[in-house]
Amino acid sequence: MYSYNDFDKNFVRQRVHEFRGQVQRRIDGVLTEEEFLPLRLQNGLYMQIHSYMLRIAIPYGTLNSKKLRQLALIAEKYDKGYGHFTTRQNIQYNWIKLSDVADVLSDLAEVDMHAIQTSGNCIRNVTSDHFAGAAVDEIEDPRPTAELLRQWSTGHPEYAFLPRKFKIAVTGSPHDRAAIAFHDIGLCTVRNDDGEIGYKIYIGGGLGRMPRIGRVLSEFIPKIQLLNYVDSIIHVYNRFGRRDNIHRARIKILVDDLGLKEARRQIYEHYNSLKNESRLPSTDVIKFITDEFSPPDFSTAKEHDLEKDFIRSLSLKNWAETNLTSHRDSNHVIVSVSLKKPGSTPGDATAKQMRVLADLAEQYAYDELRVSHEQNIILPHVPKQHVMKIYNKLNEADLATPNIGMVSDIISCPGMDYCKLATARSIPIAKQIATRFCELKTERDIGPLKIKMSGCINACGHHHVGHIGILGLDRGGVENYQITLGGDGTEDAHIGKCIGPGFSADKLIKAIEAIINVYLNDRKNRNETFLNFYRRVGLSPFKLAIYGLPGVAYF
Amino acid sequence: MKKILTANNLLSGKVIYLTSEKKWVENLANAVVFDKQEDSDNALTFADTQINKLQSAYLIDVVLTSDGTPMPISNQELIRAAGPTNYFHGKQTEKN
Repeated sequence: MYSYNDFDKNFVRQRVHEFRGQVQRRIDGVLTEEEFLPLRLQNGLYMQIHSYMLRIAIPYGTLNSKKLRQLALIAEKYDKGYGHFTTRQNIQYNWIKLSDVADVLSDLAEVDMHAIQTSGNCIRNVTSDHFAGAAVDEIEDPRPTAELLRQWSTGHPEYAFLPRKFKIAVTGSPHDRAAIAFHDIGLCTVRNDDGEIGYKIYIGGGLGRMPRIGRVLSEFIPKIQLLNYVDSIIHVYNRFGRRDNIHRARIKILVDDLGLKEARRQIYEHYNSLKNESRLPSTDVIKFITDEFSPPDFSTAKEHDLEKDFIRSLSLKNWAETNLTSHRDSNHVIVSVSLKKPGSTPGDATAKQMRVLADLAEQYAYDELRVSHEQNIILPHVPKQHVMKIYNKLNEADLATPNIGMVSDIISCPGMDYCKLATARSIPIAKQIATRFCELKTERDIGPLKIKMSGCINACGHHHVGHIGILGLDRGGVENYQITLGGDGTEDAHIGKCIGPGFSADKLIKAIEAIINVYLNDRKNRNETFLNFYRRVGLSPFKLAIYGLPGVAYF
Repeated sequence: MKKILTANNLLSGKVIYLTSEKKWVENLANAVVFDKQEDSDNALTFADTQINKLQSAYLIDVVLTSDGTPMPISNQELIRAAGPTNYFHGKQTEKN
């Protein structure tokens, strides 16, 4: 992974020093809250309902044991012993004191981490495929591209006060695990007819109150031109994106208003003027960054037949069916560690669990970890001979839940239990659904099914792209949950369709059960997934099942 | 509508409420309840003088329970007054 050089280290330390002074001036009453607000947001510090919340950047979701142990230490030293991994591959602490923030940031700086670009109207932490460097279908590791964008965007003076936040995601594979079509800019690594590697560029995707699937701006941009191209997009957005209406300020609305053709014309006008400028990164710089992400020496792993381990342990086999993914090297696998034990808070890990994961990565998995946007932890390179040992240690730490991609692997935002913007709670709903299907023991029969849950229209829980999406709203002071079906965050991107009027919390669980029963009863066979079934039959049978005939309540 | 004044403590971030003695306390039961807009407006004006003690003071609607204790109407303020519902954290741990 990328190691900070002296410039990076000094930059982060200076930011800590600067923010320490700003905090002190706020405490002394020299700065009002209004004056302090943009300063604290630039350092990831929010005021939520119970306390301050600090959001820490995990660039492109990549961690090593040293960093994860420091996150564990921070959880114990300054918070309540746990952290919450988010849908943007970051981590949040929910109970931070203002008087501790500068010390937290200082502790982070010790391990080359920070909270920059996790809030405010800037280019946010660049996200990526959590299987980067390990995926079988990968054209190229997307993380060097994400790091190049990180270096270019951090502290960029022109883009410090954009009309609104700006999110970029990169994937190196044709199969999109990073939801790139739902970002302001999505980059998909591709090869052109000459075999040259470059990017297919999407713009104007997003979730929130006006969800949009990213529109293809270019089928191929050469690697060397990437920064000029991204610069041109953001330059046009910065000039013409709306600043008068926060709800219409994202680039997706600018693309709507201009039309893709005109947006493209304006972007290319700027791009063509930049093409020959010396601001392009040199091939040496690109090579330097790329070398920082050189893969481990996979040749040290032995051949190992996992089937023999499965015969020895059926629970291992059961877990492996959902939590192991093929690796590009045949002697390795990718291990996904679920942070979704039924009944627990999705995405939360205790300090103790973080240390277990750090130890496993260090001892058995080349010291690499990833945070997925689905709020799980990934060990991307695991020699097959270590899978059994890793499983046993995960089991001891309550981390061996066998449910990746299943109905209980629910993405959930913090909702009204923590978030100021939320209109309903989401964590209790996610817990109830996961617990219910665990009791029913139907999860494996149901097969792949992504439920995503947001506690407000801002869609941090990605409900628009859930196969079943749940949106929590407030209806006259009562929590009410709207269901959408058919969303998909992959390369076959779809925005889910609302099935009809929402449900109270107690009826919601029954409605979800009824929806899943329609699928179980009417699917062609077990190979037809929930999503494919929905695409074949549409909303109607689900509507009938949960609303009944007009005037006749089904339950 | 009856109202109380709330904010978050600047340093700790904890949820606080204004009392009739113009002190900030963490227990909602001790909050002063305003019946008249003039009184709640005065409380907001007082909060403006407290910028180095607190974060973003605002009024919330309450009803009185049978023992006269104010109870917020909105779900968010109820959770804010009690603590999150997924863990035994926050104010619920501090009662008694």
